[in-house]
Amino acid sequence: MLGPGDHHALEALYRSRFDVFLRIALSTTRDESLAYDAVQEGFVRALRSFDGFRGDAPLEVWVWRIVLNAAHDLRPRRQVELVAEPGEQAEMSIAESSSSGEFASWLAVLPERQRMAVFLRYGADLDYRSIALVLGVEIGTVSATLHAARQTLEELLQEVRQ
Amino acid sequence: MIDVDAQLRDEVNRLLPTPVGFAADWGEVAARAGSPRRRRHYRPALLSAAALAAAVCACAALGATVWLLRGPDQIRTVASGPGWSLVAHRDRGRLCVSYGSAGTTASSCRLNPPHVLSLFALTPTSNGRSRVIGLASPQVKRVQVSDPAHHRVVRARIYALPAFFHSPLRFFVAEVVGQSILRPGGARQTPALTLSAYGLGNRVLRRISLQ
Repeated sequence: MLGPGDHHALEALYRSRFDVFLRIALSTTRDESLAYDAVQEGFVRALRSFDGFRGDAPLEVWVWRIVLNAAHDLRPRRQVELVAEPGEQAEMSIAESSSSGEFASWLAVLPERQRMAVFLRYGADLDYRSIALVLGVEIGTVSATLHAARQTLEELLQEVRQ
Repeated sequence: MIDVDAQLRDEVNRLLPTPVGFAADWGEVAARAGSPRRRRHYRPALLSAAALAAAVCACAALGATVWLLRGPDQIRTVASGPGWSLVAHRDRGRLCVSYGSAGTTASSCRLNPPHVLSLFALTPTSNGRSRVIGLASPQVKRVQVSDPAHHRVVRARIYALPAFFHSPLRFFVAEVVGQSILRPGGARQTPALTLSAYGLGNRVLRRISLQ
């Protein structure tokens, strides 16, 4: 049970799930540096407002909302085609693997909510209830959203394999 | 029957690899948040004064006294042109570089000198062109952008960061025709653009293809 001012749980969450937060933030910012900044900024905001955390939702869910909001805030106003220092990774293109490249383009056509639900479910391993709380929707909506995303992607996969 | 769940998990993990070079830094989070836990600890004034004196001495030794006196908010222009600019400033000790033009921004506080050449931003311009901005290492003497579709070769301008920042970062900027969405790519397809870095004696140091 979290006590007021007890930041240890937040710090533990940060340390144990840093990579996952970073990866999902990257899906929004599409820039590694901005994703890092989003995670840091998100946890800074969480720490500042920690005393206002009532425990109505799991701590991780509460933090996910804050980090994703930070990522949205940091996302360039108009997405540039390529941003920031890919460095040596620049040549490891998304299109390097054709299947991965196709998958990336399929995900890109999914509506924002479906895409984020996919990332939170399969990238962050959140359960439906947690995703619902993060996205601010009902559990049934998450179920329907993921079902629709899966259906779209399954159809695309089958087309490719035919 | 395709196991879409398993495939989704694999593909999402492949699409979102953990960025390399970004380590968790709770100390920074706590410092920026002004953690009450830290504030509650009593710090003797003498200790703080000694730490401050040591920091000032260290900075002076590094020739950064000017920096401290001028403060951290100095924004310096690295390069600019009609309707765009590339500026740098320091934020909590980190060097931050930002590009801005009408409707487009790109920024990073974690730029490192590239091994040879790397991209920073590829953005549309208001006159139907694209602006390629990247980083070049000190041994790069020339950067060239080849655009086979338009039979053009554009030589990029190279800019060093103002001496104010004491940073070896150098930027190149070039404008090319067209606004195709381009990504760095392998050599399997014909590249739309090729960035070439040349060193002394016109030796090719690195090529990056954009598809």
